[in-house]
Amino acid sequence: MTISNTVQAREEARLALAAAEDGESRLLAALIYGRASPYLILWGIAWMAGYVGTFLAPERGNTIWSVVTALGWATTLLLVLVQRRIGRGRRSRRGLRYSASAVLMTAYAALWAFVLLSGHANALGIYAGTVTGFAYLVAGLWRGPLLAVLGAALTLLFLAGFAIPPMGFLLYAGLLGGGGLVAAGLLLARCDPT
Amino acid sequence: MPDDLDAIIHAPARLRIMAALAASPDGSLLEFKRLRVLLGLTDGNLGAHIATLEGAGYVAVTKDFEGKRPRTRIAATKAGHAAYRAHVAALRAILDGGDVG
Repeated sequence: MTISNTVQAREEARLALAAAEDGESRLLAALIYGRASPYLILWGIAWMAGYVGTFLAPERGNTIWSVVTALGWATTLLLVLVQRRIGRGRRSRRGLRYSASAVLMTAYAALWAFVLLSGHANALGIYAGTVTGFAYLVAGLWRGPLLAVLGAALTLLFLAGFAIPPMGFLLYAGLLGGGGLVAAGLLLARCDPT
Repeated sequence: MPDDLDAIIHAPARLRIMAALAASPDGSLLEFKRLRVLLGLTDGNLGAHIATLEGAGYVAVTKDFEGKRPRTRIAATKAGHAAYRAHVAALRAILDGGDVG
């Protein structure tokens, strides 16, 4: 390669640094997917257990969800302790991400008000699902686009719950929502480069 | 090319490979096939670049078996990490108006 003048040299340096940033960011996103995968699988199984358990024994729904949630958080804590922390953060486009997070927060706040005030029998379930969807959407915004896609899909999946009868919603949320998380977790595990 | 730039790392594909390896957690090995998908390279292309980097002592290649399946894994060496950091620093110096040779 011959660099004949300053302008050309700077342009080549800029392109080279962009290539380096591309390689780094792809690796970091893949690492994030690999680390996110066990959480998706864990909570996917928890959702399936909670919703299907409530479907089978509606009178014990509160107990089932209490146990499932406690086990879910305990296992999550264990996973956090076991997993190594990723030490490197991204500095670029941080401002844009803060703004996008604020916009998302506002939009979801409006959505949650609509859901909770709807008086629909599935409102609480839809609310819980969209909260999870929001969490993945924001995580995806900061850490890896596949998580954002997952968050958007979860939100849409649970909003479709308005069209489903209450008993059917338990199965729908358990199998499609929980199963979707497990499938996404397995998919992300395949992205882990290590 | 300015003296500070590393001719081996400077090729765009090798720069991306070194960037990915340098960004991975210390001591971790990246699987060849995952690195290939990650960077959108072909088997032959990645293999050739890895061979060049290995020849320069910038990466170490480990071959073993995972069950019955052969597995090739790659990691940046200390020299590779240092060369990559120096190369990126030289690129930044050019952007900041330093030496362009």
